Amino acid sequence: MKKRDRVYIIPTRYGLMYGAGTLICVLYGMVYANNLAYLLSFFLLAIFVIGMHQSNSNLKKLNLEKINFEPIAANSNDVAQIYIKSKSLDGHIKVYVKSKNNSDEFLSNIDQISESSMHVGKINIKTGERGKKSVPKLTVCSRYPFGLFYVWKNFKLNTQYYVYPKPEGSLPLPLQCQIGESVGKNKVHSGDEFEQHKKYQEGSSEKRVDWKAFARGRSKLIKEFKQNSRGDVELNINEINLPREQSLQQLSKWVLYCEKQNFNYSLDLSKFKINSGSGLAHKRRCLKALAEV
Amino acid sequence: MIDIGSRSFNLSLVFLIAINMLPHIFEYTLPVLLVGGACIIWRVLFEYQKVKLPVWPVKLVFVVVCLAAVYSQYGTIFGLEAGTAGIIMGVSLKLIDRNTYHDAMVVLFLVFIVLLTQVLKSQTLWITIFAVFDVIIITGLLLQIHSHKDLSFNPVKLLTTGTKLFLKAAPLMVLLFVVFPRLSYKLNILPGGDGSAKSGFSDSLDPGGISSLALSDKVAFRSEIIKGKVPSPADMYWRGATLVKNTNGLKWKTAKKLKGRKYKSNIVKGTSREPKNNDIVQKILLPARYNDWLFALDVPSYFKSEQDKPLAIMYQNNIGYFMKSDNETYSIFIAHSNLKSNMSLDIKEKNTYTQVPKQISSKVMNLVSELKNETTSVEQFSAKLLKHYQEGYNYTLKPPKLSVDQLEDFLLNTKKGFCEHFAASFSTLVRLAGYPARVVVGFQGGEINKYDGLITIKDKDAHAWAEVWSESKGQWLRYDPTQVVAPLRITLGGQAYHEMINDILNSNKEDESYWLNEKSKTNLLWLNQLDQLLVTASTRWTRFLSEYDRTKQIKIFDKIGIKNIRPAFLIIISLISFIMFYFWIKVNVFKRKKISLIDKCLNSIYMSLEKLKFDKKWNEGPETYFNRLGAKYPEQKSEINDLKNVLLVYKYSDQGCNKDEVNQVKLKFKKLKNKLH
Repeated sequence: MKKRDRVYIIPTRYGLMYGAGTLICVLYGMVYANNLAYLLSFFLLAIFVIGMHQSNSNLKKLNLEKINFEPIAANSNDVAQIYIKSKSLDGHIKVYVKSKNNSDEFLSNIDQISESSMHVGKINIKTGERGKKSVPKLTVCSRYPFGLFYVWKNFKLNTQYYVYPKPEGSLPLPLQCQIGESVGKNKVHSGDEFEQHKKYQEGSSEKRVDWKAFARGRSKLIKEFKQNSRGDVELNINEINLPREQSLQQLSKWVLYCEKQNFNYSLDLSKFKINSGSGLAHKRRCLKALAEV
Repeated sequence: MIDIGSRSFNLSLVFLIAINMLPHIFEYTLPVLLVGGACIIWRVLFEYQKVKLPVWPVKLVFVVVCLAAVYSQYGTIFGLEAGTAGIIMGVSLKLIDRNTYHDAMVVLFLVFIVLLTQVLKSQTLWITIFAVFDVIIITGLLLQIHSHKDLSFNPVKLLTTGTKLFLKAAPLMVLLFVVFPRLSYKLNILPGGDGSAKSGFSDSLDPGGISSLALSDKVAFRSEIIKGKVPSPADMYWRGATLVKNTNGLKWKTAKKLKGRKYKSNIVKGTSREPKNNDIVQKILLPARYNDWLFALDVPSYFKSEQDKPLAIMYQNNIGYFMKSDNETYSIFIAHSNLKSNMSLDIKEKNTYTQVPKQISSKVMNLVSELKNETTSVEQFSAKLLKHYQEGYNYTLKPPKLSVDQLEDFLLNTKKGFCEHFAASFSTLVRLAGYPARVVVGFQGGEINKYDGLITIKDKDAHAWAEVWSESKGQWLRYDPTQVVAPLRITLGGQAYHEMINDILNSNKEDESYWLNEKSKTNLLWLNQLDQLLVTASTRWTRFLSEYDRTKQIKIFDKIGIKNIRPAFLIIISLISFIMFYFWIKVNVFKRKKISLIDKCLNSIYMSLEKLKFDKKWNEGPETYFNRLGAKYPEQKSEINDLKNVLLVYKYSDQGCNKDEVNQVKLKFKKLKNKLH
């Protein structure tokens, strides 16, 4: 058996209580030659065995495939996508995924995974310090069906994730241009004035598809709008007069803000420079840089 | 701690505890039931957000009060009876403790323990049925709390999942029950019956003790007449304890019970004895409620445990009481009875049997001397005394309360009572006249069950009568004053008499045949028929449970050709059945979905190719999977395509495929796989 398929099992304290109860029941049967007590204890024993077996099979052929991360803010709660694959012919019920490394806690509570399928769910992450981190050893565990046994399976994913500084700070955004001055045109997905159609690509939001056009028989198109952008923002760590960690936090806040406002922004971390841009990929790049620096 | 927020789940827990209290309801005293009831009501109100759960000082007070109540009731907080009462209170208190997962689990386990205590006390059919129902609900709830997000109360689902689990557990339960080695002797290490089991039958006489019993419809014991003539109901006197100490006119007690070493030295293993000529041989099936006393037709001369258990019997001939050891849920005894027993009295015993209370009022003494006038023997005196009872005395189950001098008040003023009053006062009067006398308590009556032919004696048949020593005949003579006060009580038997007592006392009809006719009418009612049937079934089951022991085990294995089976061998068989059960579970319990042959075949293909580092992606169907396989092994592409096409047809066409076709596919794949290596 491969190590990652190994399922570990120990009785819970209720399991121990139950086992002791069963033993007492057998003892009473012996001492008082009481056949009904024997029957009861053999029933308890059978349930114990069924519980043990079912606990074990509840995690068998279950594999933690991967976790998809977006950069996560430090000292906060966030979720990531978790992929769990079942090759078992039986379903899995009440499975938990959890970990506890030094700073970050992972926890996912899955009610059911159907047989021979891929379960895509959420895993809650409670983050600590910022940084580039590897996913800790994750434990997939369960107490199903009777809570008498605790079964678990360990997974080590070779995945890294980024925890960027917690967005905090009260400094005003450093603007290069006067507010209201139009610098360059930025094509966005929502805004004041329709500009053009763009071909639908996988991953684009369904909300932006021009369904009216689609209904008219054209292929899926995405509407793009023209918006007056407020200009390029240069975010530079050297221009912030705060301790390093606090300035990083301020920068995180600005990055998120600029992204939300559809500004073009660049990030300068003295060692590291990201040119002006916007969009999801750009934001990710900036946040990763903030996490790692 | 995870809170169990679901009201319906908590209510099902409350319901579970409530039904587990039911079998105890008649056995436990008011405080236990009050605490239980109060906690249940409190919890239900809490669930509907009418009240809060108590804070810890209040809980502490509750615990102390409960312990005190148990201690005051039983004189200890250990032992079976006291322990059970304690556990019942504990589980009730747990209800108003907290509302978490942990509490729910603890409650579920405590309920198991409560059930166990119930099982230890009796092994009747009812308890068995109740236990099955109980474990079905407990395991159902245990599963529900661990598997469903939805904890709503769904009785049908609860019962079906519970029943399924029960049936899955049943094979091991039955197998182990048959083969698990039974001990050939009894251990005596655990604290057990503390001898305070309430039987309703009391071995001391204090009028009032039997009045409540007379109304209970419980089966006291059953008897099968093996040899000899079945006596008529009026002659069925089942002897229990003999009372010799007269402490106060109406109060009678047994002689000092032997305890400790003296008691143990008197325990004998009954040796076989051939019944004498006129002996009536009976088999008595006695439940555990009667801890100390054996019952048999008057006068029993010999007892033997049917199962040859050395626990058996203490038999003191002269004083005539029998005692069996406790810790049994059911005992079966053989008894030989003979209406004539030869005994003699020595001087010491004569003193014992003529002992009278120190203070007797002059009015009573006058009555005695008045009655003794003109009589020369004890027989004459007793006959005259019976006549006295015939005039002016009345039978009632609700006698008026007697003043300080109970004997005088009863004999001269109230003149109302039941068998105990009559038997006690009769014997006292005989003693006051100077003759040896004693009181016997036991049962009178009994109905023959038409389904199994056994006699059923119920608590309603409880009775007390007097015995007087006749020097001339050299034997004890039975005098039953109740017979002259309420002759119907004896002719009809306790069960029928008490059922019809209101009619009888109100109608003034004293015609025996009329009432016997009435009795046979009620016997034909379907309810009574059903009662007889159930008593039969219950007896069979209880006998099976109490008789299945090492001897039976040996017999069973003898039948299948294994002679003299040894416990070690039985342990091995138990282990084998345990392992067999494990594998049975593996193949049987987890087939939640039946999958088609072709899916099975496909799965095995995926699995075996995985070993060649070719994993099936979770989002691809068979077609893309085989296309990808073809791309990986271009040389075998045509073969792969063939296989794919066949599989796709089998999987998606309407007619499906049969076993042979699947086997051919498997064969094809096997050949292909060899090439892929």
